[in-house]
Amino acid sequence: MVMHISYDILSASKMPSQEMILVENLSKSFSTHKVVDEVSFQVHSGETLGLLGPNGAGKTTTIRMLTGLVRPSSGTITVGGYDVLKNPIEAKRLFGISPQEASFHPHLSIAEDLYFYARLRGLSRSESRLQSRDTIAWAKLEEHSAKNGRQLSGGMQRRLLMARALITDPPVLYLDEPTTGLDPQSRHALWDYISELKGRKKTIILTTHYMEEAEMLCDRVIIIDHGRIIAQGSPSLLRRSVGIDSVLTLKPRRPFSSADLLVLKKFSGVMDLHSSNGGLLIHLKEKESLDEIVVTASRLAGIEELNLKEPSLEDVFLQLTGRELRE
Amino acid sequence: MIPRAVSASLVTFEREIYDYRKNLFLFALRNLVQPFFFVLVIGIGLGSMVSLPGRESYLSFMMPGILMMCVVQVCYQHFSSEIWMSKNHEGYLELLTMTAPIKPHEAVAGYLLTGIVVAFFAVLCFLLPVWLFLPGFKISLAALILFTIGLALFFTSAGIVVGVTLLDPHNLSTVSIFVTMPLTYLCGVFFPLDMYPQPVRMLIEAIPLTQAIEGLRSESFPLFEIAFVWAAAALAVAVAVRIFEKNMRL
Ligand SMILES: Nc1ncnc2c1ncn2[C@@H]1O[C@H](COP(=O)(O)OP(=O)(O)OP(=O)(O)O)[C@@H](O)[C@H]1O
Ligand SMILES: [Mg+2]
Repeated sequence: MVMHISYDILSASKMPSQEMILVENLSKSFSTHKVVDEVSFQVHSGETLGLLGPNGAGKTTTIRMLTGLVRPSSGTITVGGYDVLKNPIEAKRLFGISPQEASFHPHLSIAEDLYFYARLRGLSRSESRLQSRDTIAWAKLEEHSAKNGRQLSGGMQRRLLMARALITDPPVLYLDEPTTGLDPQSRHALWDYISELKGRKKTIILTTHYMEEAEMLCDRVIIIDHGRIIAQGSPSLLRRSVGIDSVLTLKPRRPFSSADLLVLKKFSGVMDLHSSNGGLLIHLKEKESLDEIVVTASRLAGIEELNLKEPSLEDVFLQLTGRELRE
Repeated sequence: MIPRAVSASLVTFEREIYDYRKNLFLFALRNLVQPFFFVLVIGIGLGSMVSLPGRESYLSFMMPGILMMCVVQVCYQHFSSEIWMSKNHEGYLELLTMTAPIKPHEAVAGYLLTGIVVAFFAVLCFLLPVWLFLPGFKISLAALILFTIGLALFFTSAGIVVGVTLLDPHNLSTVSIFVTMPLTYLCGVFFPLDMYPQPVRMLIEAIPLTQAIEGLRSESFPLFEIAFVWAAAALAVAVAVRIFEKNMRL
């Protein structure tokens, strides 16, 4: 995208260090329900941070506090050196947001929508016209610019939200589940957009439920559950940190009985096992007794398919947050 | 360079007016329906059977009341629904809070400015045909302008407060009936205030709409009434800003 304005944001911010976003002891309670609990983290300039967590973990609430929409019960947030609560005007110039819930005016076209959004963000009339045109082109929505946001498909709506977030080309972006509910094509298209933004050295906070998305796009990941940070680090570090060496998947010829499972669980090196739709997933600390496990499983129920792989972020996520359904 | 606060207010104004202009004809029509029936049924129909001692025709007695009632209706109805929609349906207020480098009171200022423009549009919609068909009708323009601004500020503020606090859209029309009905029938649009017993009259005179209507009817320039309406407007604006600010954050 061609950007015609330069805010000179980085030089304007009072930021001495590399830390673009600084969150300290952030908490939020809705009546008695503590939704975010003493969360602290930093995001360096140019870094992409993934916020992962089950439904209701407090990701959206955290992002809403970063924008100033939700007032924290306690804690501080600074963006580019500006306190979001004390200097909201300066802080807001630094970030754009693509919210989890899309919302559109009932009868403005998307060109008008973006124009007024640009005006809202403080651009002049002529800049706003220019920027809305360029951003529509960037999001490949030219053919649809006369439509209303509600007439767009899910993928186009997500691109529109991304376009809105980028209209002033801010250095910081909050992307709240930008790819949820999209087909593989649209998801890959959005990943390309986000990669492009990473290439442009944007500082990004991304929430997602797709672990492969986090592995691919995030330099660092924070896993939160019940409002608390339970793990953080680079995806590869996290994979190592829970101690899973490898993941063995077995598809038996006959279903395993619960007695069979107990037998398998006793082998040294087995951390835990989960059976799901006929298959068996075994997390291994080490591969020492791998051959015995396979032989025994084969004797107990036969083996139709077998797979050994490195743990993925998803395995780590399930290991840390458990398997029971949330909400 | 325009100061940031001013341009921030103007952005809200620009967006509201843009939207309003798209439906201008419809709004003009909507503004005219109630006054038209008041004039036709009550003013001309009933009015021909009424004579007010010491006053001109019943129709010209009613006119200031209908004009001011227009302002009340248009501002209150428009903004209570507009703000409700922006908050609960379009997600616009949320977007504004999250991303716009605009302070809540600057957004309110934009809405108030829109309210004033919308009120003048309603007054004109009504006055143009009146001037055309009743050439004898006279009104103090200065007073009309000052009262229109004052009432527009007051009732736009009321609309903002209601729109931003109500959650259930059904309550919007319920509250609207409780606001506009009593005002229409109590504030002296249709009959002089001396008809009320003294204590009731004092209560009714405390309503800014009553003061505006009485002021427009008075022989001399209504300084007191204008001051009263503007003071009430200032208070209402302050309350609206506070409540808007409070409801913008979760
Ligand atoms: N305005 C509110 N009032 C009361 N409770 C709220 C409010 N907003 C969020 N919550 C509660 O806070 C908790 C966390 O919600 P949040 O939307 O932050 O979760 P999330 O991690 O974004 O979940 P998801 O992955 O489903 O989007 C939930 O239990 C939710 O019910
Ligand atoms: Mg969420």
